[in-house]
Amino acid sequence: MNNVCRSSFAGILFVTLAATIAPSPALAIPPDPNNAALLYYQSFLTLAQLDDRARDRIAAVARGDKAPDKQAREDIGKCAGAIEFAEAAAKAPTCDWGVRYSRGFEALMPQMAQMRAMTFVLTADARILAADGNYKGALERCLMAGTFARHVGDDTLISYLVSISVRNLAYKCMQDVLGRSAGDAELLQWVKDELAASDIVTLSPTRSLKNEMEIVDDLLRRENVEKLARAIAGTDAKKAAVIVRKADEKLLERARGIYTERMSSALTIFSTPMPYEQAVAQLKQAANFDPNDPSAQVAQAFVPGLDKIFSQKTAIETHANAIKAGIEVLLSRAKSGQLPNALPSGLPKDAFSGKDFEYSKTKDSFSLRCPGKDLDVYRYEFKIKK
Amino acid sequence: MRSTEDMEKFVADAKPHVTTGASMDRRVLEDSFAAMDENRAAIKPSAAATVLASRAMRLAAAAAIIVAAGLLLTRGRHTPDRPPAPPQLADQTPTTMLSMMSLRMTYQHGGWDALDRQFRDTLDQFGLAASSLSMQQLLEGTNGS
Repeated sequence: MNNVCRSSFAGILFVTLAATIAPSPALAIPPDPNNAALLYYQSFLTLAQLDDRARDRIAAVARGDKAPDKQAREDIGKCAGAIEFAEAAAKAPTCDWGVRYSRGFEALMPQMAQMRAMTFVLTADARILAADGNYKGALERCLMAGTFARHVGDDTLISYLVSISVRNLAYKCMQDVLGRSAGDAELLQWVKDELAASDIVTLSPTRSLKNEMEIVDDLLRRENVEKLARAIAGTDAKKAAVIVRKADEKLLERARGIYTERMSSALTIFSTPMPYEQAVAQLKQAANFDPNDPSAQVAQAFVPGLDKIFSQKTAIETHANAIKAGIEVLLSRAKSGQLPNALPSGLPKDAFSGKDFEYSKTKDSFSLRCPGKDLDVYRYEFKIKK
Repeated sequence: MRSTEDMEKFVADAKPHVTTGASMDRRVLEDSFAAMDENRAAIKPSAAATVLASRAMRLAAAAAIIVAAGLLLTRGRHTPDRPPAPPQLADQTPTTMLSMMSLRMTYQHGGWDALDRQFRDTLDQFGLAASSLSMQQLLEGTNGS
């Protein structure tokens, strides 16, 4: 009996010890980062050291100005590790770049320049994949660049502008690749679904302008007058000294009042549905300052070109809608075997006018144009590969 | 589409509404401060003249000045009216160009084009990657080398 008890006890002890000492191998390995920024930073660290000419080559390929040649392929080949990190980052659920916002305008943002370089690398890689006939791979890269744009974020105005430039480059590439994959209905449907899913998170200048308002409100105070002088006068010590001497609390209080009033007014315009031209006119008015009022001039130094930001916001929304409308036209062609004679109804519209795009077709291409806009920048062409 | 037609260019062309350059902004600001100075200067003599118009007040003022001068002399050379030291400008280290302020003011004065140039300059200054050390170089100086 004693022997049985002893062996049972030993068995239980062994199992307990085994469970404690040897947990499953999966638990022993730390998980991959949840924060995409950590992976993007590794991606930036593994970007190849490229000289000016190589960077120009990559940018030209990314923009679609030049077909990818052997050298450009070699340049991008050197960035394979960086692209792999970016792929992993695109799958991470959150993205926090770790900017020290407590430092206000003096916070450093070294990642911005790297983001711009990474955009060219990703888009150039998409162009290479497309040139090799891998249209799905190319579109996946474009969608990945779209995710990257969302990860760049809209915490600051600079982030928002960079995110627009990323999306812009990705959309242009997507526009070209879609035309080439016009015959593949399954692929077109897949892109359509992916774009619809990615629309859940959208960026807006409102958030960045609100954040900037807080930073500027803090800056326009006597205790921060030296920072203010540096912001306005740059490296000119003499001018900075003039500002420090003369920007007293009364002047700064008035400047804060003017700045807050104009920015609040702009935020209201940004969030109120109204015709594009009306919004631009009101935003221009909000950026009109008395040149003889020192407080107004100080406020003006920190009010961005609000009408231009609104224009960029509308333009990127229009480009996104043109891509979605273009996919519908291509799906219609894939089903019927020919381009439709008129734009199918119910498609995303031109965000400038709120109207349908103007549709025109040729034998091997079609265009979507913003109504009432003559410049080619408002025309989105899809060239179909036979 | 031609390259000039693409949206990248459109974004690049969309400069801020503040069409004046940095120098112009500063000049306007300085002029405004100068105008304010003139106003202050114009106000001060007239107020002083009113006060000093009275003979009795003039005597009182002279006495006050003598007392004030005596007090200052007894306190040594540290005069409270000494002009303030010029502001400490941030050292113009290469990292300055990475600050939100630098990027933001670059955009304010030059739009997207200027900002993009600054990104490029940053890459020239710091390189695409922070390190191109080989594993062998990394291990130099350790026991494993």
